Amino acid sequence: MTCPPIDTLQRFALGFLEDEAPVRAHVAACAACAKRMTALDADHAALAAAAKDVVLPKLRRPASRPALWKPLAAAAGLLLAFGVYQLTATRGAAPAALPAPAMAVRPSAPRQPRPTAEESYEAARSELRLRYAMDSERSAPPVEAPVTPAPPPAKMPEAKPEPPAATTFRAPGFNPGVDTAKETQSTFALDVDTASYAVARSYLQRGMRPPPESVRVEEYVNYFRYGDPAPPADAGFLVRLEAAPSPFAKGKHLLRIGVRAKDVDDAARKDAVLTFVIDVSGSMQQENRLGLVKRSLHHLVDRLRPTDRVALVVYGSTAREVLTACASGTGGRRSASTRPARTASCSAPTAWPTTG
Amino acid sequence: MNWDDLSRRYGDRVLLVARSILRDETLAMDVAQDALLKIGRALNGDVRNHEAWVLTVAGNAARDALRRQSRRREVAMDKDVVDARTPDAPMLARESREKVTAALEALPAGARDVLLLKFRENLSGPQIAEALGITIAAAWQQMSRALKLLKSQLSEMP
Repeated sequence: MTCPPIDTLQRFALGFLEDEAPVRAHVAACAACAKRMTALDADHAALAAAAKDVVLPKLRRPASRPALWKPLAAAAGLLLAFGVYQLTATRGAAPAALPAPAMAVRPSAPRQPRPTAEESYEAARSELRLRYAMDSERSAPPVEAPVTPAPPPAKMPEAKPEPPAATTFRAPGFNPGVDTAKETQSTFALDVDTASYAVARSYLQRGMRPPPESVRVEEYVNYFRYGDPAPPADAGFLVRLEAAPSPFAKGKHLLRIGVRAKDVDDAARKDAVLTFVIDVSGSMQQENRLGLVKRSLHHLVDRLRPTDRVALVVYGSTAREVLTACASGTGGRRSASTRPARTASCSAPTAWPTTG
Repeated sequence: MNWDDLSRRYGDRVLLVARSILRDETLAMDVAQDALLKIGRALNGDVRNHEAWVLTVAGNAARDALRRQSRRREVAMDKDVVDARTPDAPMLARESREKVTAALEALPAGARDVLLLKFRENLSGPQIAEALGITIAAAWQQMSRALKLLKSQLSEMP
């Protein structure tokens, strides 16, 4: 009688075996395997006990969407929903280092009837169509005329100069409108990516229009400073609302919600521990990519305090630690300023990443 | 919808499923919170026995997030897995509970969370496979690798 491999026994013990019957029969008949099963069960019980003590982070209650008052109810609701969903639905990784603030803006005006989800959705679609119509060819129909049902891509100019390097944009599609009366809560990440605006600027500087799928509305919005006031000393955040009639559609309003965290000046901040993970694959081997990264890191290291720590990991086909976390006053600053030969420790000089 | 009930009942496993798939704590928190919100909305206050469905929703949300993550692809640091096959005598059972917990916490996210789905949430093999959107055999590969990692982690600890 051949005993099954230990891997099979463990699969059996943990319920990962699709055909259990032969193993069950074997274990019943084989004393050695029965003993192994007992050992496995003891291990699994120990693991189950230990697993109970692992601390898991608690999920936070999501922030409430602000209720909207009368003149804004029809238009702003859907624009806000659009904005919020842009943040949550169209971007994958949004590192929310800050907790989402609970935004509770309660208007004193009585509740007004709100558009249904379908109405909101239709309104959002027509609004977007209008915007696209205005953005696309000059020969496009005037604002009042209904445009094509699907979001028409703005055509690229025919004479193509060299396009900016990054051209792999994907259209995220449109989010449906949300009836804020029915869905009062939402989540979004407080991050401030602005790359989409820089991409557009780079296209425009070359005399080209940015491709529509490269446009991330929230990153355009985030690019600018709005002079939102700082929160009072005892508060972590200040939320500011601004509304104005929409330039894109009559009777609609745009609502901007600004969230500003309290200022921490350079001297008061805590020491930073920064790990840079840098793509050094072949595609990065251009002066405006890896070269830019290196120059940016030089600038950054120059601004760090001696007690800040910096680590460097590079990856191409595999990942490699180039610089273990070290105080910027020692190896970090030195390696940044002198660009010496390669090693991977704090005290010794460190290589800058090279492609390949 | 009562967020506290929902979170107490399904929060851990929704988070664990999201973390197993995404292997990124921050992103998984966002995705799990969103998924839980969606679950609450769909259940409309009724939070009884929707285990399987809840796992599917969480898994789908995490996989969607993974697909959208094109701007931020992650590469695993190379780490050798020591093949520490279970001998005839128990190994984990001889260690202190605290040490096993510490070893669990020290594991890379994917390995740790798949172990927690099994040993903390008591999900069956087929349930884990379903939630992660993979076959039972693939789920076992992850589980088996995680167990080996745990043992090699334990043997490295003082």
